[in-house]
Amino acid sequence: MDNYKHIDLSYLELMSDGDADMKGILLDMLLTEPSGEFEKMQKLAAEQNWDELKQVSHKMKSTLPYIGFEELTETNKKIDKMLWERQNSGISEDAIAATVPTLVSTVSELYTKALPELQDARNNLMNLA
Amino acid sequence: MNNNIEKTKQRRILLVEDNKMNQFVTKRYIESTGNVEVTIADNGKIAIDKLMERDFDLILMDIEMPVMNGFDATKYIRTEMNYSPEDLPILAMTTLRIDGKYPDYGMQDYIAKPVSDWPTAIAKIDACLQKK
Repeated sequence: MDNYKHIDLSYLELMSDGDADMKGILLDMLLTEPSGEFEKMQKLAAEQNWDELKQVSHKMKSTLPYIGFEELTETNKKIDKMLWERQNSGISEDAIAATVPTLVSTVSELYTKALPELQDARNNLMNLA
Repeated sequence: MNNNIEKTKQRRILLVEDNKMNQFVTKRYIESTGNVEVTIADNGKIAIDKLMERDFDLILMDIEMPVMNGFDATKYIRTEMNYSPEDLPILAMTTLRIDGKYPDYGMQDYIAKPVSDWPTAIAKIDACLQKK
């Protein structure tokens, strides 16, 4: 696959084990599934629904390695970690409210940067077929 | 792909996982290794419902899921449904670092996500299936 400014599809390559059909399905999933999840995260952050936000952020932890955009992966990990600390080590609600919504906006923005590259990778795969 | 799971007997695995990509990749990998059928449940509650409908040889259990998490589902399966670890091994499959702690939750082993070493993961699954 091509080299991109933001994304790195090495993990996706590894998981698809050279199977072009599987690569295509995974890329299609990356082009569609995360947008809904990130929208949900924005809504939950606005509502300060931290418990549900943690579940969505945690779920995204195993999707983001497929995109291979380190800043995106790490920002989401920060959200998951802060919300874990809220549940387990008493980090204050004020600290969460002051930090997490900004991090949630950042993951959405970073995903927006990844999208054209993901689309390009998908188009290239289709052209090879 | 690895080809470790013994083929002489049809095996049924219940994959409890809320992430669609993980569902797709895990099912595809495991079913490619042998005579195995993978059924998917999106959360612990659905897993219990499926377990009431039919038997499985092994469960792969995510931990953090909506509705019912993997710890609560495992506890229910062990205590309310009376499945012993010998009858129904449960392997945690999670991004949480619970190495060494999974027996406390009624689980027999642990596969870390994201999975980067499928042959090792398949070997763990096969080891549990061989004990049955």
